[in-house]
Amino acid sequence: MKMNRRQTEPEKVDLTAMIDMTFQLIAFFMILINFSEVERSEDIELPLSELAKPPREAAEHEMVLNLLPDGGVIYSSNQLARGDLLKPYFERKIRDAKREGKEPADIRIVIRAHEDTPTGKVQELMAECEKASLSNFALRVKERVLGTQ
Amino acid sequence: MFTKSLKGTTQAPELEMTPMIDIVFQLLAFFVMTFRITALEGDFNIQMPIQTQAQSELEDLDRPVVVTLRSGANRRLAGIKVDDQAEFVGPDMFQRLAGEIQQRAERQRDPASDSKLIVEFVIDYDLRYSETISAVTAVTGRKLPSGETQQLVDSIKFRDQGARLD
Repeated sequence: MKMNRRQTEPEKVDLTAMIDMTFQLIAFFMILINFSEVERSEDIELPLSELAKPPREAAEHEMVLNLLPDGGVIYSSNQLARGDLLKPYFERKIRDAKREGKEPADIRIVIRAHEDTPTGKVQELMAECEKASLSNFALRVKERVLGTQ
Repeated sequence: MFTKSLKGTTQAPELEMTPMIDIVFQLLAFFVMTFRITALEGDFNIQMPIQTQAQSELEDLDRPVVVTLRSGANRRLAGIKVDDQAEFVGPDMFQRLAGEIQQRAERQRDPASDSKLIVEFVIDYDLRYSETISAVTAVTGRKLPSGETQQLVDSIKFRDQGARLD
């Protein structure tokens, strides 16, 4: 029996479109991946504000302090029972900044406090920063989408 | 590069796509699994000057507007006092505070004057932080219909340590 050679060859699938799409998806996720997430603690529920705007430019020297309702502080994955235990971290940060010719006031202290935290505890944390000559503060809040409570 | 077959005809080389597709799908799976949709976060800049000038030394126009936040039941905001004069209570206290600050900002918008509107907060120790942020939002500015923010104050300060206010 005579066989048609064309029928025996495996069918070729054109993968170009699929590879194009997959690379586009990878590019999309790579652009959106946010490495600053490591500084955020999931235990913190930020208060809402409709005026929340992300900072236009990232500060050269920044410390993100996560403040829990009981006064505990999470800094760089280290959980500390009180704000005064941050002293060695402040000293190290100030040393790093000075090496680059910056002053302690150039270090931006970002406070991510839980919405239920007593405001006095936030101020106590700020006072600890002030003891280390850090006076540039930013209170971080979550954007309130209009129409939500 | 072309190869010669036994019959002597040239054929395009076949590229092995399988490892590339494998790794691409692994990358895709990694990004999909680590992707998290989070709400936008923003900052309010607060000044805590280490050395403050005594209130009496300041010119009238440079003197900050002192906003006192009093805590009530369940650590919710019970009342807002502005410069020990007007006290706002009730559900519309944030709107009234914003109105008061706006009036002061308009009064101070004299082009001949280079004075700045500074608001200093005196806050009850126990007050919930979310209530403080609502008050900070009210004095900071307001959102215009165009989506832009109209800034009302030049600077916000917290008076040193939170105290239990009576």
